[in-house]
Amino acid sequence: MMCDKCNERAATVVITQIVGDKNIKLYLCEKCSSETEGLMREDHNSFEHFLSGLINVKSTNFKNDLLKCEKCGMTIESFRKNSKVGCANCYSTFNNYFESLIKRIHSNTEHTGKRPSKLDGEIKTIQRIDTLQNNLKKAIASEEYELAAQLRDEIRSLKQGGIL
Amino acid sequence: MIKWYEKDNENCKGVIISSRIRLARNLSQYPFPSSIDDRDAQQLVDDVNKAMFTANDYAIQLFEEIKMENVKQVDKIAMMERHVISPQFIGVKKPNTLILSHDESISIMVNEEDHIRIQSMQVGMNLLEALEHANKVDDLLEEKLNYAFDDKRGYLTACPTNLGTGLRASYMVHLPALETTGQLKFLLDAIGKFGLTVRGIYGEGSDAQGSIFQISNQLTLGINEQEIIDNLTTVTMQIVEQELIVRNKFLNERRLEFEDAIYRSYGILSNARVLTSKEAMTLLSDIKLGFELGILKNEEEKQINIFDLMTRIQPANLQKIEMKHLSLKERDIARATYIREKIVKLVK
Repeated sequence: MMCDKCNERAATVVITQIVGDKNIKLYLCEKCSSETEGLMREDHNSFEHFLSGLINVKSTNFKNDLLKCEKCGMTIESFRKNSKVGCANCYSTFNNYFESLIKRIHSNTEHTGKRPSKLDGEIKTIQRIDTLQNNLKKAIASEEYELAAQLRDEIRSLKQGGIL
Repeated sequence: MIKWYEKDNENCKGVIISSRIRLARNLSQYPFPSSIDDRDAQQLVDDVNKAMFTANDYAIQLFEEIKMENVKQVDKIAMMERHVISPQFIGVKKPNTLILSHDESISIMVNEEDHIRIQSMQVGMNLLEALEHANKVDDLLEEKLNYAFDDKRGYLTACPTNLGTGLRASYMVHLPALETTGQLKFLLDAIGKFGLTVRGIYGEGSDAQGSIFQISNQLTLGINEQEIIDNLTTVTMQIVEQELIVRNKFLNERRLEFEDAIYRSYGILSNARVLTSKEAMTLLSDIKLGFELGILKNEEEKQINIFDLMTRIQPANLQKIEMKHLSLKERDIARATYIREKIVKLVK
């Protein structure tokens, strides 16, 4: 959709103007909308605004308001403003906060769908190394040094195998 | 090459125009697009390109990179009108890129709201095939990139509403009969209960034009891909069935008024000298319905792709056809001329 005012750029903002009892909607681009004064501004992504509403509910209950994500610097305050998470790490930094938010959005907190298959490979490798390390301890404890050496080499090659 | 939207659509009597899958993915090492700096964003673009095109015959043969910085604004909007990119992607200022299949059915937007947005479209009711294509690209990228993924929360996304599968599945549907009778409103209110949502033709924030709507899943976490698609399909099929019932009712009980309305729309389109895109969409919606119900016929007895025509008469695509910049008034004139020439050839 093109901007109603300049007809040059894509409309990204909806301006709602109330004149008397009439509701007039204007679809404007960023530039024209910033030039239009005295109008009520309403972002296109109304769902995000709805989301901000959800986020603000009970916000005082969270003590991590003062926390800041080490990786990207996001704070709960900044998240409340734009509804965008800063980086993957934020989800663990603000774990408690997101836990309840996610529950409110999805009525669910556990993923059940697709997983990166590489990850399953990595997990298998981690589990295999765990098992081998246990066996290694046992081998050392029972003074089976030949077996221990074999296990040590296998662990080493798995660790060097690339993904870990 | 024939584009996906130019293909014939013969299933569900044209009610389901297209099926779309979108996957949201992010890389673990960079901040999400809202916080990423230009240097990391450029690195992200390079990473995705490399993952996609290095030693990969499938990608090299079917896809090309379109550097958005070299694309003119009008061409970007034309892409948006063809649903190749999202409206939000037009406004991205940080380094970004688009990887697009030659038939435009699969697009990968890099550095949109998430680092990677894989979109796959199919004509008609074909979500499973769309998912298959999206998954193929996803698997390919995943093999070489490190996705931000958490066992509990699934794919980590910039907006918590996309967590889990990162999957948005949607059907684009044409529901003129339900809209005319006012039944649509009730149906659309009800589908919220099934975790679904309805949007206009260009997605979030857009109005419905030509009785075309997008129905998609709202929830992405706690249900898997298959369940999302099954749920969406079951509910959509109910809506399609209702639409077909009302269409038949029109035909059986008020055939003359119905034919009259469709021929009037045909009359305007084949004679008008000035047409706004909104008016054209409404009238073309009638023509689409007229063909589907056998009221209008064409010489070759072939399915007519009205949706394709609806796309071509959007402001930016029209300017591309005319190969020049047109003012609002010039566009309305060019649109009327273009449709007039096409429509008289289509209808017998």
